[in-house]
Amino acid sequence: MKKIIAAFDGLKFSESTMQYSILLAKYHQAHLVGIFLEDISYHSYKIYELVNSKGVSTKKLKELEEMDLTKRKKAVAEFEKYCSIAKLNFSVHHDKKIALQELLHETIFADLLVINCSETLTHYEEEVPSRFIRSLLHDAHCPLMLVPKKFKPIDKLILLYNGSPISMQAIKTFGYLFPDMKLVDTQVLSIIETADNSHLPDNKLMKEWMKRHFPKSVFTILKGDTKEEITTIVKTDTPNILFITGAYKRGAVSMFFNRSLADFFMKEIKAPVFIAHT
Amino acid sequence: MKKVLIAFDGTHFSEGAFEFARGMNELNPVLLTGVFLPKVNYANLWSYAEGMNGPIFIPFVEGETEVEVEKSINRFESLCSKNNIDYRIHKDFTDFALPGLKKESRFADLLIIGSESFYESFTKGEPNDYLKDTLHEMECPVIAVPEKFNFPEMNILSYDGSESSVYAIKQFAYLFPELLSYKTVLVYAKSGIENKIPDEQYIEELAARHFTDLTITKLDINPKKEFAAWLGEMKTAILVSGSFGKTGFAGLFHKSFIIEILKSHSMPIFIAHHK
Repeated sequence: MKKIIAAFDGLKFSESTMQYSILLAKYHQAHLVGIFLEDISYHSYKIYELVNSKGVSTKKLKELEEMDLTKRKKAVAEFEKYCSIAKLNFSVHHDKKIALQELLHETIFADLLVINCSETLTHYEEEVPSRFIRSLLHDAHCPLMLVPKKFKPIDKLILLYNGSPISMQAIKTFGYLFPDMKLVDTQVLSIIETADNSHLPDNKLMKEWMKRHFPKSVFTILKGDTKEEITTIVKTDTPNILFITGAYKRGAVSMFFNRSLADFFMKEIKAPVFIAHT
Repeated sequence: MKKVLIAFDGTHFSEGAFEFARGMNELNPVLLTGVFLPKVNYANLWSYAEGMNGPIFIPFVEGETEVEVEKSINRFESLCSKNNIDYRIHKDFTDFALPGLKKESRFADLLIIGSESFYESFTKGEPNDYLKDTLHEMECPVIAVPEKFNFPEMNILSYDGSESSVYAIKQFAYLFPELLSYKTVLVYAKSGIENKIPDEQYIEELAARHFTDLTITKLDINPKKEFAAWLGEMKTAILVSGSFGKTGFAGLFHKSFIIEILKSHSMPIFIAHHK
């Protein structure tokens, strides 16, 4: 792990994105790049606010634009301040074109993207996950870490494994990016929804790989509904968990399953999620 | 890098592939899983799925071949013990060779292929269909190793601005942390001086973090002289490449450039395929 990018909306600066990305960059000696998405078509005011009885007020427009500019500058300053405190190598990119395209381009040249799961890049409210996050999940060229609104340190890893190539790919990617996390409390969790089988899929091969990358991991197999089981774990398990899952492969039937799972994470589970797709 | 697959076609034991695995084990101990595909399946491996286009029947595995496979396995075992390599042997692929190998690759970090037939097909300019399919199907990066080579002491990263070339560079960096401090050349090869390196600032920001001794070069491969001189300096290298895409022009770039290199210098080539 050498280059982490963290995406920010300067108008709605996400502190948790900053805290998580600083934590990761510091722990893994990575270079942190703050990507400030300053799409010119996006501003914090509504067009209606510009209109008064005499039509559109240019003075008002100027005022509002200056307010936005100050806000954005403040956000960048905040990011720079905390990076300096953490003594990180960091830089800032200002991306002024269409936010989604610019960010996708940045992901080609990054090892990991950290972003708040409620980021919308619009001035109106959207349900989580927003259209922006959805598209990002589909097309990103590097793994993502979706972080919740509130920052908590990471004490435990749960690798979700259901035997599919996608889930294994995600676990491998995580292992390559965070080789030094292998000693953190790690659990491989398989949730079996059909009752007839209680074995870990490809048990032997999976353990052969895991033993070399996460030697201290514990294997757990649960029976039941995936979402219910995860909710129970989050409620009963005290340490702060980072979930690792594969998801959102385009154009497969599996996408439906994964989409609902990823959505569920963002909506219901207030824990960070590492998502890698093939 | 922890779990490495090494694939042999039954009767032929590739010394080159093993030599590469041995070199890797010296840098950082690995678990080496030897996958022995019966010769007959290897040749007809890909016809299974082809329906009426392929040969309709598949020749039997003859007793003689089985003996030879055993020989390869014995040689593999004795070499592993001699070099203190932790190893496993997986062989029963008689029915479905490709799906079997695909599954093995899902649970491995790297696949080493040491067959000259694989390797030669690169240099002929037109990778054959089964090589393409292998690269396409495998769920981990692949290294093709020629029979005679020197263990890499430097890295050549081929870059064309495409997503797949960057993906390969990233995968290589994750899998070979031991090689990151070696001299590394990132090459953008395209004829004509007007072509700038695409996204130069971005690729530098990424690659320079991973590779500590990095040089970024733009190379004109049309004047052969310049190219040959450049290649002369690359004695013992490993070449990192995005996959030969089944479609798209990224493949075209790679073909001409990579083939030129492999023709004149046989060196291991690392290919990561982005699905």
